[in-house]
Amino acid sequence: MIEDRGRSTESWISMKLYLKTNPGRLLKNAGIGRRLMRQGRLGLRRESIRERGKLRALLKAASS
Amino acid sequence: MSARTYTYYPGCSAKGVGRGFTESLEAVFEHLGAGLEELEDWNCCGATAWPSVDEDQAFALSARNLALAEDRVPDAGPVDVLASCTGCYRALLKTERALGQPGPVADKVGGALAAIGLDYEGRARVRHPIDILVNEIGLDRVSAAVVRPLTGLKVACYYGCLLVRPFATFDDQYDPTSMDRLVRAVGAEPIEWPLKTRCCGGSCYCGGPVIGAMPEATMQLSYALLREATKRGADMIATICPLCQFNLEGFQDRMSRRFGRPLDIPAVFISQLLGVAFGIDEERLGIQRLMRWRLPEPAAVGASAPAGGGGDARD
Repeated sequence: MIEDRGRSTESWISMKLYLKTNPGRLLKNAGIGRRLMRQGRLGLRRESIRERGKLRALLKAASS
Repeated sequence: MSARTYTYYPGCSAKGVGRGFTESLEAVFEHLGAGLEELEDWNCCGATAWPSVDEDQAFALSARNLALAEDRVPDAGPVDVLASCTGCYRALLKTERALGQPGPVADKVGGALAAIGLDYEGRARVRHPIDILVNEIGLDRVSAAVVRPLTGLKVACYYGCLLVRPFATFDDQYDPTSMDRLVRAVGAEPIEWPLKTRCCGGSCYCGGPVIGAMPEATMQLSYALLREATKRGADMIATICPLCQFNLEGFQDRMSRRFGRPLDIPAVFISQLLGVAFGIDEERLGIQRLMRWRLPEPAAVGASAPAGGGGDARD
């Protein structure tokens, strides 16, 4: 996510992790997710930086 | 009164789950005659699990932010970069230290920055907003701004792991007191407790028991903090880290069921508490985003507390 967009979006990280590890917990925690969305603390819009190409070039150049 | 504007690095969480932290910091700094200007096009600091996978890339991510901050102030002087999230603060500070020493890391990361037309000169200084409030703006100015003294409010100041570890730049590594002093400056009373730097479980990652790899361990760590603060008579916990704040406020019902003892204690950002004492509108402080919020009875807290403003538990 960060290689592609430069920032992490908590909602997407959570969902991806749940789906990979334990999809049942996605349902278990849907309530608190909805609550955070209502409070404006969690959104589905994916955050991004402007210079995404440069960030990818930076990571490639710094790769061990 | 200084009109200084600081470069502000919010990081991903203080714009998301912890956005009340950014909102309240901006309001409090403005109220104190300072300003926060968000670093343009900032990227993830590279905390998370990145350093364990590729440390040079993690350094490069933070280094881009430091280089952008220096670009913003092109003269030769130092540039203070304020990082509110303590995970970001630690990651950026670690990078500042690593790049400040000649060696393979500095060479590699410097080369990677050069590949995208950036340069880190070593002028960027990573600082935490609490450091600025206490040591630059000063407790006298904080006290002078209070219109609603929080007399009678007992606060457990929770610093978490990363503000003073591994780098203790402005406070004691074992017994930090910056937040305690701020709490006193607005008329409230910091409680004495031994867990102010004990882990909340956020490091068992990521977002606490919701999606953590080790939910049971996370719950036990957070529960110990909440229980101890409650036992010592705290009315609320004040913190400075978006992950700690969420961990501590978000799962109290679940912990109450799991451990068989009721928990009901607000966990707020210290800047929200300061803002309330300064009389700043609660909405500007992001108070409406908290799951629990209440102050002791108005008679005990500030002369101008609204009638019936005992607050609410929103759980």
